[in-house]
Amino acid sequence: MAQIFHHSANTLARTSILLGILGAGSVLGVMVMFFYSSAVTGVGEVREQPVPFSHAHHVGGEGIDCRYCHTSVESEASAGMPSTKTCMTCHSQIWKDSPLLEPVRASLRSDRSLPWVRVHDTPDFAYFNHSIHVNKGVGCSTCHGRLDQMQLTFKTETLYMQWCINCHRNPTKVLRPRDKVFDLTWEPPLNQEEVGARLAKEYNIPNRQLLTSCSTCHR
Amino acid sequence: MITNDPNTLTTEAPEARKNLGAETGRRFWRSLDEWSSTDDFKALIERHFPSQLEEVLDPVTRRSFLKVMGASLAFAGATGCSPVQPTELIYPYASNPPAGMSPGQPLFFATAMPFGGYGTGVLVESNMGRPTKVEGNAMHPASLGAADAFMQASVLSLYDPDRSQSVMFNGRTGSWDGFLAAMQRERTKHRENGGAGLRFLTGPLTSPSIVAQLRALLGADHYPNAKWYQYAPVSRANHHAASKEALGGAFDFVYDLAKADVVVSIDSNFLVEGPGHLAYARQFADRRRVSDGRTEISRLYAVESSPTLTGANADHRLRVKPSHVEVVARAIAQGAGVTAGQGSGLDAAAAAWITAVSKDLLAARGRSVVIAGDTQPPAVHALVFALNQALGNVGTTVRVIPAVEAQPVDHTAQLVELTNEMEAGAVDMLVMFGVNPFYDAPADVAFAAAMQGKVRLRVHLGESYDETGFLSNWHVNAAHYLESWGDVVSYDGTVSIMQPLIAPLYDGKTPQEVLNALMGQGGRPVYDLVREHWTATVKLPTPAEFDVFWQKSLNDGRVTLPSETPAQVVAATLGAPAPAASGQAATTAVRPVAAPVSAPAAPAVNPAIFAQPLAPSGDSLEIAFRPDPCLWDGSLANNGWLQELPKPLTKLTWDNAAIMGIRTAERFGLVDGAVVELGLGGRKVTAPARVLAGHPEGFVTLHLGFGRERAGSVGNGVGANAYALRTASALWLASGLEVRPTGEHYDLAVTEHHNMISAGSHADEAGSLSDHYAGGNETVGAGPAYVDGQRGRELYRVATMQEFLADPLVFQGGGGHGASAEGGHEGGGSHHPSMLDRQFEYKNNKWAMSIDTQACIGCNACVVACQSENNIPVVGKAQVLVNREMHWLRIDTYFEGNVEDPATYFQPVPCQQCENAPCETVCPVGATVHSEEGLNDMVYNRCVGTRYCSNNCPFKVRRYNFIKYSDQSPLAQLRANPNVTIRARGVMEKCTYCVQRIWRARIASEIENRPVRDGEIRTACQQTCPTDAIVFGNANDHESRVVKLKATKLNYTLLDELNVFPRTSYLGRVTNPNPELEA
Repeated sequence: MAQIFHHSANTLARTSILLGILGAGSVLGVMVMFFYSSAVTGVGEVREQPVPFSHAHHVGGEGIDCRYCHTSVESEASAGMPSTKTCMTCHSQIWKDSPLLEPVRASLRSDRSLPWVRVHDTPDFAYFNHSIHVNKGVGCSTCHGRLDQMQLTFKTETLYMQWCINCHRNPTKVLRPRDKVFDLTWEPPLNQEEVGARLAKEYNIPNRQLLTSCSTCHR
Repeated sequence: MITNDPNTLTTEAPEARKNLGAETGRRFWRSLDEWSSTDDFKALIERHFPSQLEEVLDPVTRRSFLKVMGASLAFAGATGCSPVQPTELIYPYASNPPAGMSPGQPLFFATAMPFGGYGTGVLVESNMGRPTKVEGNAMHPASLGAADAFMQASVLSLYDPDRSQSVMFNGRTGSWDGFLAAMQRERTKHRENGGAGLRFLTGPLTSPSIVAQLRALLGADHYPNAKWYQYAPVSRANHHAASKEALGGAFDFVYDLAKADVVVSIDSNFLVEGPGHLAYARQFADRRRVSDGRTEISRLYAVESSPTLTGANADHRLRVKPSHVEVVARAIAQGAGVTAGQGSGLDAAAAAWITAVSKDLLAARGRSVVIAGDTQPPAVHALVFALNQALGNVGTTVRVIPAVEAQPVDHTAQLVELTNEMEAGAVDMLVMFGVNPFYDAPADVAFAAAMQGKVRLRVHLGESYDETGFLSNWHVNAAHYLESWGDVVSYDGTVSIMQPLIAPLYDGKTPQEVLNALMGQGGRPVYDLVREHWTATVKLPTPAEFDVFWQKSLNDGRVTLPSETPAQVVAATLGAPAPAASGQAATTAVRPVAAPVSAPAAPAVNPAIFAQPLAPSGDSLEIAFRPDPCLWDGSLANNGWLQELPKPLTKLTWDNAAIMGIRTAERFGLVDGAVVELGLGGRKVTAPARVLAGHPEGFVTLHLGFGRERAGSVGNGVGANAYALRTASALWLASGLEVRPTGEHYDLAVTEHHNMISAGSHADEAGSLSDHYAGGNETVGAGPAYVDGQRGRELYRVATMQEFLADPLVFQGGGGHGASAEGGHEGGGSHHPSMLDRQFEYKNNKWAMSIDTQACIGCNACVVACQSENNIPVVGKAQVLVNREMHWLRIDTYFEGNVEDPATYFQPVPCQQCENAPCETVCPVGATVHSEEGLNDMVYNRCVGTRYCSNNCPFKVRRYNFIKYSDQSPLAQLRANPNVTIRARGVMEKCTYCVQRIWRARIASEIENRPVRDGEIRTACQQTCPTDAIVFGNANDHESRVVKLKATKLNYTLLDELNVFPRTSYLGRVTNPNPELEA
């Protein structure tokens, strides 16, 4: 009986197996890349806001402290969004006729919220608390990046659980002296491991097991 | 009539109770089925999870199975399709936010909850302006920091979608402005004849501002010829009738159980019902707390007809027919030196009982209390007061105060009078406030017909568009108490000013606003009205001083009057009758008029009231009407938490039933769920039977509050309407009941067999693990369901004080070796060696709980508190029937002894937070894992729903979301606790020790760089517990309360032999029986 398949079928079969594996691998690779791409994570993506608020101008330029607007960041779970009144402490004096600021003035006039689009959105099943991080020497820029350089606000980190856990496993990498917490320009010193370990002790940072217990973040 | 001899039991028992009267050798049992060891029961215990088996037996065809599986697979893939989070908006305040308002940061406000007219102080948790949880107010004497199930559930009623949402006019949506205009026209009309055709109908009132308004309305300036009637189906009318007749005025009694060595309850349920019950429960429990080293505890005797929790907590309980309660009361009084007319119909055992009680009372002169239940006739109340007086209790354990109700009346007589007036055509306009007589009027009072036929204009203010509202011309939607300004007085005369937590969701109105409309000043906000009333009441010289008073009153949740306020002024304004003896009022008291009337001023009881001999018939079948332990008079019928709450003792949910004793059931050949027709005086109601161990024979108990037609989607058509049998002359007790079995069966959702711990089977596992895993399963359930006769291995442990003093290790496993605190593990310390020990070292915090079964009265407050705190869904009757109720905390009820007269015990069982947790080892996806502080964490996001954990849980505390139970409607979202995840379908859940509260306190302590203080974390169940039975804390802190409790000899853990080392442990119960009555 004649051969059903030509000799070259062997090569074809081998190639297709190889291609299949490669194909499956690359599909997986593409998927992984996709899930870590800014299209999904939102990292680096600017969200359109009702007013093009610039942290670079207010923080970097004018030197306004984070806590001027985010008042509850040291004491409560939420850092707090400034009320329209807070904006108007200055903007009733300066740029008071700017058309860009009309939504702000409208909000004050009508006593209705000025809705901002959330940039940093932890999932609802993760109970993040700002105050404990800030009080234990985790600085703003560790998670929020160089806001003093951002014209428009965007995420610099994925906020994936993997990213959270990285610090919770070894917080010494990011701990700062308390007076540097709101310093957006802070860079870890060369001996950060040493400084961080000392600070962890000083701040009474719980052990890694507690920091990575499920109920620490999920309730 | 009363017999305690099991040998006399009838032999023609139905099949289900074939072993009745036989010796089973069991010390404790949880249901009649278990007591009689039916085969069904054995099978039930064997299966552990009856619902799962039913699932397998479901007639699902292969085809539909494939369809469902295919769809599930497809959707399982689809869930991964949207990795991008939806865009969320942040809405900051426009003007500056109120102080402390921040997402995730709860604020607490004090107010008071009116219930039956009486107020109890509450602290309400508000999350971003939404009231989400009710707690007790520790500064309020009626709460002492605790809250009952009704208070806990009241927050759900606020967000009830079936609440009335607008003003209605003749069945169509109306408007408040339209109502005001109509009232203005009516005012002009009725002013002409002084309101001769105008009638008001309210419930019992204590609110000073409402009463002042009503009195003003009935004054010369408005409608001098109008009349004010009051009606409530459940009220303290009998008590007040007695005090008027016997004492010559309306008085209330305030008890001090902390000073009482002997307490006698005459068919009273003072521990869980009635004004002041939270305070009484606390006093009672404190006086009997053994865990603080006390060796002399008070003794409680209860005479009762329908079994109550107070009776269940008594050291001695005498079970009689309702009509015989008075006979017993007279005999006790006679024995204690009060001359009362004799009664007849008691047997020898009862007589011995009564003699012992009288003797004990006489021995404890001035240190005893006798309390009569509100369902008892006036004669019993008068008798009980005479008894207290004779025993010298008045002034020590019984305080007499002028009645708290503004105008105590005989409610039923008032309704009858009003009905007669309506029938005579004397009523042109009837204004009703928060009452529902269409539903709850006695059956022989033709209120509905008279009102519909003869009254031209019917006005109704109510929270729901109920039976009465529906048939009124004007219905005004009422504001919930959490939306209202107002004021209310509590059982001891403490006045609270109520403040709203939220603006009315549907623009609901208060009685003050409706009354104001009739005064011709309609449209004024209630805040102004209440504030004005109080400005006039306290008469402070400057507005600034009044502001201080106002703020302090709101902040504390109770009014403290400035000391210079003249008492007479306050008395007049508060709307209470002046004190009997004038000049006695102390101006510094919380409410001057409510100052104690000193003993000489208290008039002597007129003995003529109970001098007539009494001979209740012994043969006729009786019926007792009682307010439902969960729905009360029916006004709470649309509250899902209360509907699904297993009623104490009967463990019945979503229904009421004709509750009866074993012999009565046998007489008619009835078993649980057999439908009977109850006939009384020609009226008929059908209800399923429920046989309850320890229910006295010769009568049937039927709870009020069911059979509503217009309660809402939850409460409509649930249960049998007891009001259809109730007549004006026999509100609580009627004889001549006819019971006719219909032969039909009705499924009752009873939870007594749900989630049962099966000690026997697990003992087998522990004893021979190899057998068990080698297929030795047939031994499971075949062994004794209880390890009896071996003290120390029982799930529930109880001893008398004598036994405990003789052998302090009576509660410890194996007769004393390996006492609790010496074990390697906190909370029990097993003495069963095991290879499986995992020795964790907890360096920081080690959370643990201690539950005092001595203090637990079984009141269910913790169950609802847990439901409220942890967003636990309501599943509905069909799901409860298949064992799927979701309560994280259940109260196991144990009966002991004679099946006709058992002792009853309660044991709250939450997740035991085992250290060697069996659930953790079997989870294939690591969804339940141990935390560093010893919590048994449940990770909803990891859970795939294998339910292995729940199969392996010896305590049966895990709950599974078989379908999407959680209510995610917008209103329900408003109510939900934002700090606890709403669980999705297919996820396991269980008690977390309120981990969200632990972390709130932990974070606060970490910020301040200090350890968590003892008592800083209180779990929801602990915080609400009226008797302080639950204590939570850090087992590594040797000064903590929980460590001290666990170190006592009372401490034990459940299923010690399994070596799972639960973090939750129990304190044994110590009873104080009278040696003379110990057979």
